[in-house]
Formats: sequence, C-alpha cells, structure tokens
Amino acid sequence: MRNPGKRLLSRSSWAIDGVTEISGYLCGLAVLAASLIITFGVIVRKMGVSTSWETELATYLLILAVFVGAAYTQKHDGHISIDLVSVYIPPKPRGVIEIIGSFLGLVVAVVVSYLSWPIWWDAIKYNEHSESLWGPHLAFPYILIPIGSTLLAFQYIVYLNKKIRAFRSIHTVTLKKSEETGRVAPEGEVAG
Amino acid sequence: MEILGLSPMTWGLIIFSTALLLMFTGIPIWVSLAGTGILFVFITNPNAMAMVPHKLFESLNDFTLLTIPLFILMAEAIAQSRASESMFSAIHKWFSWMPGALGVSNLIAAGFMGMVTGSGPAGAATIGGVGIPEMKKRGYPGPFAGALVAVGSTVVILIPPSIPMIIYGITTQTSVGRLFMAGLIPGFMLVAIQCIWVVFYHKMFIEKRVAAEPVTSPSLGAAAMSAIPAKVTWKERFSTLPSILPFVILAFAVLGSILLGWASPSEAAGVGAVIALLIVAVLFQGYKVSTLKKIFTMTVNESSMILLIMAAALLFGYALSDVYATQTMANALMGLDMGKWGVFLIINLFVLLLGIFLPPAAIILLVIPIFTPVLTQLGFDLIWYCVVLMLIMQIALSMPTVGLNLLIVKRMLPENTMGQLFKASFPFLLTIIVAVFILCIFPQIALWLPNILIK
Repeated sequence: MRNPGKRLLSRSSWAIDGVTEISGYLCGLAVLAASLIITFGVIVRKMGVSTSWETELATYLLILAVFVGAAYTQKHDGHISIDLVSVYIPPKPRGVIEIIGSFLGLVVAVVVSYLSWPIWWDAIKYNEHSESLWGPHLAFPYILIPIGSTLLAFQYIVYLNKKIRAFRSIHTVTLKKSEETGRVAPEGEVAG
Repeated sequence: MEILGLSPMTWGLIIFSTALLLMFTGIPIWVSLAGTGILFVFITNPNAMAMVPHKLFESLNDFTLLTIPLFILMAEAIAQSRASESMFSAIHKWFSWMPGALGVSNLIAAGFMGMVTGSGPAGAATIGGVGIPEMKKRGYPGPFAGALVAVGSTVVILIPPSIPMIIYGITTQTSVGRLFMAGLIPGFMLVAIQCIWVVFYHKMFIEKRVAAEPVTSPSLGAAAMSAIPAKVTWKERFSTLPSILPFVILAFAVLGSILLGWASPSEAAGVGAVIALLIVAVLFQGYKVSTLKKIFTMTVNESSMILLIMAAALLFGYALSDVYATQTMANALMGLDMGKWGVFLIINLFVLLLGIFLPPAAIILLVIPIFTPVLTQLGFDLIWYCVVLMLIMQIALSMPTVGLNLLIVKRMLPENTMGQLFKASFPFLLTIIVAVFILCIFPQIALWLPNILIK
C-alpha cells in the first residue's frame, strides 16, 4: 500500500497478460476457422456452387491471427531475433539494449495504433464497403490492426516493466558482489 | 533525385545499415524492420506516414499468404503424432538391404518431412532423436551422423510445400504452384546425391572401421553384429504401413492437388490442415485439450512471427523505394562489367553471406526485390532461381548461426565439439553445391515439371 502506482501497474499487468492470453487462443481458433472455411469452399465449389465470401473472410481471419496474435507472440518471446552478437555482450549492457529494444517495439506499436485508429474511424464515417461481390463493411477488417497494435503496446509496457525489474536485479547482484569482494564492479561489466 | 541532399544510393545504404544494426543488437527482426521503415518514411516523406497502416493492411490482405499459417497448422498437428519417427523406422525396414541403410533412411525421412511441413528445425529434432543414437550404435562416427541429420533436414525448404518458397512467390509475383513443382525434382535429386555420399562413406569407412575393431568394448559388439544388415521379413515391412500410410496419403493428396491444378496452394493447405487435425485426433489421441492448445498456440506464435516480418519488410521496402534506392541499387548491380554468371555469382555469395545471419524469410523479403529485375534482365528464369536460392539457403541454414539444426543435433552429441560437427558437414554442403551446379547446367531439372503441368 506504500506505492499505489506500483500496485496499479502490477494489477493492470495481470489484466493485460490475461487479455493477451485469451487473444492468443482466439487467434488459434481464427486459423482453425480459416482452414474449415476454405475446406467448405472447396467442397461447395466441387458441387458446382460458386461463392465469393470464403476467400475474403479467411483472409481477414488471417489478418486477425497475425496482428492480434502479435501481442501473444510477444508475451511468449516468440518474435525471432538475431542473438549472434548479443550473447557475447555482458549482462548489464545487454540488459540496457533489451530495454531499448523493447522501448523501440513500444514506440512502433504506439505509432502504428495512432496511425491506424483514424482509418477504422474513416471506414465507419464514410460507410466504406469492400469492393468484392460479398462486400462486407470495411470497419470489421480495418479494426484488426488498431486493436492488435494497441494490445501489443500494452503488452510491451508489461514486458518493459519485467525487463527493467530484471535489470535492477542484475544491478543489485553486481552491487552485492562488489561489496563482498570489496571491488567497485567486476571486470568486464564496467563497460556500458 | 536527391532527397534532403543525399543520393538514393546513400539513402539505401543508410536505411540498410540502420536495420542491420538494430537487428544485430538482438531486437526482434520485425521491430527492427518496421522501426527503420517508419523512421525513414517520417524523415524523407512525412506526408506518407498516413499510408503506413494501409501498407500494413495491404501487405497481409492476400489469399495466397493464408497458405503460410495453414501449412504451419498442418505441420504443428503432424508434429504431435511422432510421424517423423515412425516414418524413419518404417523407411529403415524397407531399405535394410542397402549399405548405409540407417543414414539413407534418415535422409529419406527428412525428405518426407519436407513433403508435409513447410519449414523449421522440428524435423531435425525428431528424426535426430531416434536416428543419431541408432547410427552411433552401428558404428557411424558421431559427427558424421549429426551432420547427416542437420544438413539433411534442411531439404524441407526445397521440397514443397515450403514457406520460404511461398514468400518468394509473393515477393516476386511468381506462381506458388509453379515454384512448388519446380522444387520437387531437385529436392529428390539432392536427397539422392546425399544418399550416394552416405552409401559411399559407409562402404569406404564405416564397414572397415567396424570390421577392424575387435569385439572388445560392449558398444562396438553391437556395432560389429549389425554391420551385416539385419534380416527384416516382408511381414515386418508391411506391418509398418498402418502408422505411416495416413501421412503418405495426406502428403500426396496435398501436393498432388496443387501439382495437378485441382486446388490453389491456399486451398490445398486448408484442406490439408483439416485432414491432418482429423488424423491426429482420431489416431493419436490429439483430441485432448492440452494437445489442441499446444497445436493452436504454436501455430499462432509461428504465423504471427513470420507474417509480421513480412508486413514489416513491406514497410521497409516502401521506405527504400520511396527514396528510389531499390532501383538505384539494382542499376548499380547491372552496371557491373562481369558478365551474366559473374553477377549471378555475386548475388548468390551475397545471399549466402546474409543467410548466415538472417532467416530465409527475411532475406527473401529484403534483398530479392532488388535482385529480381537484375536476374530477369540477365535472362535468368525466376522460377528456376527460386530453386537455386533455396539450395543456397540450405547451406546457410546448415551453419551454426541462424540454422538451429546444428545446435539441436549438437545437444544430442555431447561428446563431440561443434568444430567436429561442422567439419563433418562439409561433404554434405558440397552435395548441395553440386546440386546448384547441376541446376545451372541443366535448368530443365527444375523447369520441366512446371512446364508440362501448367500450359
């Protein structure tokens, strides 16, 4: 209760993690739905009925899985990166780089959501429809990018908080070590 | 066409170095690319910022792209069934009469995994888990067995369905169906060349080694015994069929429907994923919630990872072409006075060098748009080049840097060093280079199938 800000952060990160987890399962179901819809389309086509909505709907489900799934993938550290150089960097500067990297990810997510919400709003305002035969309202697919990037931004805040805490713990370990050995800092960890 | 006082070439170099620098610090690839793209669009053409979400949306609003998550779903479902292990032991029973049967079975099983999965080191892990201990028991040197599995498993990107090929098709606007057909025969050819090397090695070194060693140590006792191929009865051979037949039929149905033009790759992948889920649910207890959860969350993780790189690379490419850097760099390459094959060699060496650090998807998305106009103008077929590119990527994936195969295999061989494994993989890498040469001399090996099947 000493620090209400911290409590709010830990409670909201619990909520954000929960939402992210659920969104991940939802995306899995979206891929399943896409495969079922395509299978249905193939069967129907073989029976001589031509439909146009499956292709488009399945594609929108894919966009859902990718953009909304981005936060889930981030939570599980699934976004591939090159660790060829970073494994040789000592823990402290590496911690700094990871924090900068996560911050950059946060900036990208915020910029994309800032730019993409208006596009969804425009689709509603001007009642935009897809140009296909099926012609669904574009507000549905267009909301996927802003939702995904906003969720990703929140997930990055949680992630960044974790990274900063981990970095602090490296810092305290280093300080404790230096107290024990009587040195200021162990060799190789001064740089950074 | 100077922008803010800098030439397109300078801009190109600045944009590329920024992205590479960010990537090498360990920042996720998609963040590095999207960050660089957005930053440079903002610097050079701030009015175009409103285009960013449109570009992101359009990059994924493509029915062909659906092939990627659907093939990933199919592969993740099959991964839950231990198909690669039963495949390996079944093939071994059928090929037991051959010298080097174990090694050959490993290579063929890897090739088969290529027919049901699109990419990924999963094949190396499962095949190696059974194959490597078995090979060591029968006198194969550890590094040789490890290199065989690590390099052999990279063939999944050459044999259709292949996720890097889908990305290539979308990037270069070539037909994914044609690319798949082009990869099939070269894929089988590469497996065959590697099998020849294994049989030769077995005849020359392993049989002698096993025969020379007296039956003193208990481990070599078993080796000496199994140097003579164990008799496998026909009954045993046929008894392996039920465990592998569903997957063989699935593989041929998915590929066949694409090759014969009955279904588009996305449709074949969708139906394939549904059938794979059914097979796994019915025959391998895949209806459990924990199994299903694993299949779907892994699919989301991998799809989102690879397709976000794709969307981010499009933003990056937009930033590059917005300052006319793409065209300028292609022209500079064309201006090199080195002849057709000289330029070809430079392009491939460059791709190989990048491939040591970047995954195939990222390379195809970043540099292939620059190379395609050059290759077309020099008279190279883009379908044929895709096959060559996949072979080069295979070499890159066999390096212990981005290719996880060697790292996975190393964990199974704790008593061997990475250096020994790396050395043992050279002959296998040489087989890939031989395949590249054969393809350069006889391009028809890749182009024959797509040309007869699609008029």
